[in-house]
Amino acid sequence: MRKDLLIVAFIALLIIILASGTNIQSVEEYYLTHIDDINEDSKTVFIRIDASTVLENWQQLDPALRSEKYVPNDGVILENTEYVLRPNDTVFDILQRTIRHNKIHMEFQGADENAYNSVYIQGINHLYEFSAGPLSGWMYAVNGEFPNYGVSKYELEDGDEIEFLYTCDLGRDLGHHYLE
Amino acid sequence: MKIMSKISKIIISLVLIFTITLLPISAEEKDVIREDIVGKIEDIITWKKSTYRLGMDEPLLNQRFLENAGDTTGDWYLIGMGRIGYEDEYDRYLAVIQDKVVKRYREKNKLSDSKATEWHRISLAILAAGGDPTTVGEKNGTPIHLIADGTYDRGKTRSLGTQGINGWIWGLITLDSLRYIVPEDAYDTRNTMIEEILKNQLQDGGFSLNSSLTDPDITAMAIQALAPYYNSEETYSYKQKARDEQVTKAVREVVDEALEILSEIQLEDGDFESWERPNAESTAQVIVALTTLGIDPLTDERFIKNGNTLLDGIVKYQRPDGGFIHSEMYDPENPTSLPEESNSMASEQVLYALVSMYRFYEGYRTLYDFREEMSPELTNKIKTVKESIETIPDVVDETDKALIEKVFRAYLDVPIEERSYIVNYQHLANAMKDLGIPNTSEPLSESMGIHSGGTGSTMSLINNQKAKTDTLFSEEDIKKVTILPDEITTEYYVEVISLIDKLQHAPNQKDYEHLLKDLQVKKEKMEKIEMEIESINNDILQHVYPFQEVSLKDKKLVEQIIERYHVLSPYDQNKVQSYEDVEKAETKIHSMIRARIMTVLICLVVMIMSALLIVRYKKRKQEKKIRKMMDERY
Repeated sequence: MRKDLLIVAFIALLIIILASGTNIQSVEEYYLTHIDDINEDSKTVFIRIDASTVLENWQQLDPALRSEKYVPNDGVILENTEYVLRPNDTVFDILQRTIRHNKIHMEFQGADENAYNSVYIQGINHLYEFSAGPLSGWMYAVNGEFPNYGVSKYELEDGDEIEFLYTCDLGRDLGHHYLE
Repeated sequence: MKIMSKISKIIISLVLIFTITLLPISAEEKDVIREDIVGKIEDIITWKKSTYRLGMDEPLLNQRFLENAGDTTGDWYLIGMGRIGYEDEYDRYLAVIQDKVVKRYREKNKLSDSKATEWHRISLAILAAGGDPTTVGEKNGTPIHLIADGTYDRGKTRSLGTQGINGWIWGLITLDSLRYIVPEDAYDTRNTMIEEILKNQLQDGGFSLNSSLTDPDITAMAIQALAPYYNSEETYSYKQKARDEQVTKAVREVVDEALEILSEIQLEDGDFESWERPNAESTAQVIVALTTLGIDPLTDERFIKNGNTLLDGIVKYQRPDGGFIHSEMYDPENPTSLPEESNSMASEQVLYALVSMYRFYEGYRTLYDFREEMSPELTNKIKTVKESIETIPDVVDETDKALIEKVFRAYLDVPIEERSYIVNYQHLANAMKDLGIPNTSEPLSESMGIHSGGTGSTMSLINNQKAKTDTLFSEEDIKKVTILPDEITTEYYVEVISLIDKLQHAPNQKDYEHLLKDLQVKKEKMEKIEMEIESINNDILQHVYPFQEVSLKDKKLVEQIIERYHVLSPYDQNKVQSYEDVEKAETKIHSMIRARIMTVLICLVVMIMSALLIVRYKKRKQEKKIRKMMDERY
């Protein structure tokens, strides 16, 4: 009788292990597959992609792009989303990850292909430089400031808020004023 | 009344003496300046080479540099070098750019369709390398015509103005680079382009991309584009956007106003500032503008400040390594251009500004006029006309009429497309106006087009020899073919493309047909690899995201991607984007499989245990039964 009990206990134990989801991984594997999981200790940044200025300049927009597919009704291509910040991540790294994870179109020029020594974002969601007039194109801001240098040069810090914003007036419609 | 007019004439002539009189430069001084300019040009090229770890005598147009052919980093250096005939391997550039253009035409959307200036820059670079931008490879059996597609017919797909005034300016510069003929059915003409530029003139006389204040770079570029029409008496009626009013002006009036504002905003050191930062590039563009108009930047009082010329203004940006910096002011927001580190964009613009200056002093065509240099007869003719214009006094009366009419006839005798080289024509025109002589000169824009194709001139201006072109396929070239690895990778793209091109054009190509075949096989292999890389990149995008949804279903695909990745050479593997995400997906899938196996195993154990238990239980029951039966029997 005692033996039976032992066996029953053993079965119960196995069932508990089964139920708790058998996920046996090494530490490295766990780290790799959970690198982008957000937990209490993770450093994170926020990113959003917004083309709402195009809505007010619809007539300037390339007719081929006048569709909800390229410019959503509210202009928001990506809602504010939190991402884990890995060491030495630049704005470009986060954008690249975001774009890929959300299957958003993006085209960029590598750092060695232009004179700025930085990656240059040519188009997001099929909206390119000059798609909505001669003063249109993508700009980015971190914590509300518009840096004057490339996305792959900007190293991020915990809690930074990144915005990719489409401008139809060289930033003035975003409240950014270049020196004049 | 008469006295008044005489006084005003004296005042005018005084003003003219002050502004126009050139301080003559002696032949010796000229030599010094020329040597100085050539030295600086060579410094810049040597610096650029050093950034690729190349020695002074090695060609800049090597594998790594040419990977950027067709991009902003690749083309402008070439334009600068080509325009002074600096010896390098231009044929390699032509081979590579042709291949790239054909590819870009094949895959739509690959060449930015909103940036017409891409076409312009590539066209100018092809001309500078001695190529013909009207026949660049082919698409569907017809040659690709970069001039038509990038300038007068550009509007059939998207307006030249899509990117703003820049598109019009560079479109016009490109159209005039070889004085191309605009066909009857073209979308734009020289006049529509000129008018679009004029419309954008600001209130203060200058030009800018977006602001209401003059930007020296854009103003200078507008002048560069309008310069060939400076001598045209044709007027344009258009609505000037900044004033919101209808105006009628000739190109000359607009250019003069633009020059005035440029003179006004020149800084004390002789340089210019843009975005509130004195910098080398703005200064370089003004040098190109003045030398294109035929204004001597070293002697014209309007552009000497505090004793400093534009040349003084620009050399202050040179570093000991030969390169140039963007600005001396450190901009914490712009760490890519440091005040203590030579900058690629600044250096390339200074390079071609100095080339433009050199061409001006040596009497060659302007920077963006890529036609064959003038014949000695034409050079003489132009010189004679300019000299006879100089003999016209500043204040003229009826006695000068005969002289002026004679000079005017000589001017009309100069072919229309060359009249922009009569840089002092304005003096003649003013004298004619003063005396009421009708100016019957033809509008220049209509007759400016003379070529429908052809190659850019590639004369070496530094030692006056035709740039070296080794057309025979040499022993050295054969060696280059034989050292190519059998397992070719895209790393050898530039090498293979340029060798094929050289062989195809070599007079001795018959002797090396086997090599050509071999090279073409290699080219096809590289194209396959490129397609494979693109397909892998696509598959990664399709199957690895979103990561949460990666499941056992994707196992096969992920394994295939990994397998295909490992077939690639390390060089090509680098072109696969975010491969780490594939590894991540693989790990996830493996963990899931392990979990599945564990589950199955545990289920099995549970089942066996349960079976055992049941068997035991049954056995015991049986035993009990037997015992009971036994008990009953007894």
